[in-house]
Amino acid sequence: MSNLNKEIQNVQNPAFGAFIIWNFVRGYYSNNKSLVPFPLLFIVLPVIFREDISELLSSTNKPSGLRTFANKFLSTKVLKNDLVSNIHISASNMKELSLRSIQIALYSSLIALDYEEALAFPFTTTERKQEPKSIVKLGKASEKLGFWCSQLTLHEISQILKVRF
Amino acid sequence: MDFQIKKLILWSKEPQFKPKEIEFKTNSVNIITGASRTGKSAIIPIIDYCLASDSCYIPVKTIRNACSWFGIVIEVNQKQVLLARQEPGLQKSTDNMYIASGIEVEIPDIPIKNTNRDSVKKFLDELSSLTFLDIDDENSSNYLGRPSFRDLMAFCFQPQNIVANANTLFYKADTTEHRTKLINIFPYILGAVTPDILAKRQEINNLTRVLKRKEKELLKLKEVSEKWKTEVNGWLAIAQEFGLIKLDALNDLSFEEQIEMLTLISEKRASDSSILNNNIEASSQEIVALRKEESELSLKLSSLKNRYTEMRQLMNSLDGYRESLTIQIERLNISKWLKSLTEDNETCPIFGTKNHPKEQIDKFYTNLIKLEDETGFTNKIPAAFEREFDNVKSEISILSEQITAVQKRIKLQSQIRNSAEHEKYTVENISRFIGQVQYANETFKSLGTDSELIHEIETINNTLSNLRAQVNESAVIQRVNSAINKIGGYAIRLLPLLDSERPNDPIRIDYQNLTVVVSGQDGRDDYLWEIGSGSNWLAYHISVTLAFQLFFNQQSHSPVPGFIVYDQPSQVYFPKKIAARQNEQELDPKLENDEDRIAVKKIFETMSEALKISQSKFQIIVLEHADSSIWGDIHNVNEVCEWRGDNNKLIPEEWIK
Repeated sequence: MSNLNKEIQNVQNPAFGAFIIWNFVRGYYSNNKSLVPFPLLFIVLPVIFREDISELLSSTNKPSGLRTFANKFLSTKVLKNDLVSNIHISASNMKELSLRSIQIALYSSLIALDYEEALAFPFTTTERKQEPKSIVKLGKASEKLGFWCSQLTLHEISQILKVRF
Repeated sequence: MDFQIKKLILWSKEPQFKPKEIEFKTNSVNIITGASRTGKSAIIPIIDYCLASDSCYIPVKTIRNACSWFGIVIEVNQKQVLLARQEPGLQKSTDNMYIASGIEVEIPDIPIKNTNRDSVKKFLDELSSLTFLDIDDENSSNYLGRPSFRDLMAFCFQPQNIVANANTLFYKADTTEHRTKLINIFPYILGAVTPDILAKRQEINNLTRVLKRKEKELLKLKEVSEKWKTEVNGWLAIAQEFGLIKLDALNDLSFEEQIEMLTLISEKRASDSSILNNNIEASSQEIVALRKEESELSLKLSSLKNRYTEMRQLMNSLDGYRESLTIQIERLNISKWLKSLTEDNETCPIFGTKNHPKEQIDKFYTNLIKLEDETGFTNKIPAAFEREFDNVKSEISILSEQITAVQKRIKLQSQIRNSAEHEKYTVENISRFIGQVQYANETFKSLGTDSELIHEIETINNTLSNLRAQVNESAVIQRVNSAINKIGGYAIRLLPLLDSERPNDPIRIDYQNLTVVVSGQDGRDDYLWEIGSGSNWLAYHISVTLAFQLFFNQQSHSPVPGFIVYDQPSQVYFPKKIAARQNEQELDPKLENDEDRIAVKKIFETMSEALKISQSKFQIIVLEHADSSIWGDIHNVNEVCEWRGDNNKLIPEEWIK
């Protein structure tokens, strides 16, 4: 493995992905105990693993919601509208990583799957805070994203994030 | 654009009443007929308000006192979007809005704010795939800003005061601000200026700016670019290390002073040097700092380059970039992909474990596919990021220049550091350095004829003339003219169907004045305001506004919504009762003579004909006194409701306290 690959592996690995996805499911569940539609799990990593996007996610208030967040990319101050258009492509590229992350999250009993309905829910909802600050930050961002998604229909999410499931 | 009104919804201030819904038919003429003061004229302001207008023009008293929220359901590309906005109360308007979308949107009992006006405006801009580029980005005034969805409303409404107005042809074009903006974005709306051209115009502006800077660089040595300054700085730093000069602050020197310093050094001899301990220390610290700066710059540069590559990819998939600004994307299709990972039907698609109950797996797939279908997305998504593309390009070039400057300086310092490590501070080496300084000094002095810079300027000039040829402003004018001729053509086709004095005189759209010019047989061009009679004005208004819709409809992608609302087009034919006192005025005027009845019928026939020409691809809403005895038998006319008689108005009586 080349050095660069190792670097990527250090950051974008399925164990870390499992942690991120669990946080997403946790955030989604926190709104009226709703369960996450399985396809939605595949957009989490492309959003969180992208530095510019997750920075903006962290700096958006929780009550603002997904629409306000997505609109921020359009503003002249941020000028990063292309990133939203790119989420779909990243989701496609990260499919395998997402699946392996989901597997680990399931194995380690972070999340569970209503197999027949294709819906995911968290096994444990206690927030973890002993990890390094940078990791906790990403977990929190993912949780927020999950909460936002729970307020919208799949159709609306796919329109706002421009993802075609 | 396929953008039509499906429903108009009013929510009462009293929670026990259900919201009132008024349903419209797409692709046809919709008529709301009724007596005076039943709320017909409030329809345009309500639609406008829900489409994020800046202030609320919905009439006060009855309507605003009774309603808590106003809403419309629009149908866009076979999907529905509900846009609702709160009644502003004592304020001029409110930003509280509600948005929901879906294949079939649900009407809530009472909307709860989930977005604001600004977001809705952005949503509408994106929905209509409008460009983000300014029409003229050198002038930052609002008039020349980017076209917005709100500007397009000019083509969608003909309220009572406009529909037979000699001075104004378009909605809201009676204020200078809207008028100027509309005139400026006209070439874009007509499809004569594409986002591609706008992007190139912006690039030309950027390049012209760079060119000016480079030329300045070349002419004035005083304000020489960063690149040279850093290099001279490098020379001076080494000289200081060798103890040839003594300086406190290197960076505060002007370029001229630096050159002077160099001249001074080049006149020195090696024996003049006095190597000082702290000089060496300072220089090694500097090299560490430089290395750090270099790596930071390169990190930034590489992430920008990545983004640039991604953009290029997106740009390539932009379908018909010049017109519609949409990307075509394949579905993620998680279900299909999972299926492809396992060969048989008994392996769990998620864990890959064998002998999983087949029924369970089947159920999983069925539900997964159901979830995926819920999104019901078309394969095109709106995308506009030409600004971003431009921005990243210029950022890359700035960073590249910076990094070259830093690297040059590092190279200079480490050359001496590394080349002859053991004899670095020998007299011989110092003399060699002085020789190099002499050479460098000559170079800097002859900057005025610097070939590299001249070459750069030449390249920019070439690119510029190339771009200018591509933008080709005269072709733009040609395209504007051809579009205007087309619209004129449609209007001439519709005009004879209406009641006007000069049905066969050709007309021309004058977009610089936002009006119509009628050329008479005597060879004189008459502006709309020079022609008399309300019925003539009405005829031109109807034929021209319909012609615009027909033109937009026929374009492969037009941002303009496919609906138009007329408020009382027949008003000019109704008998005037000005002298009557308020309480004597009839609430529901009748057309008295047959001539007028025929003229009014012609209006509806023309609308029906326009829809026929477009093959029923847009929607007309008419708010009218005239009843079904006049338009009843015309094709494609749909009566939405008739507001006559007791408790039959926009606002139900029980809503009013």
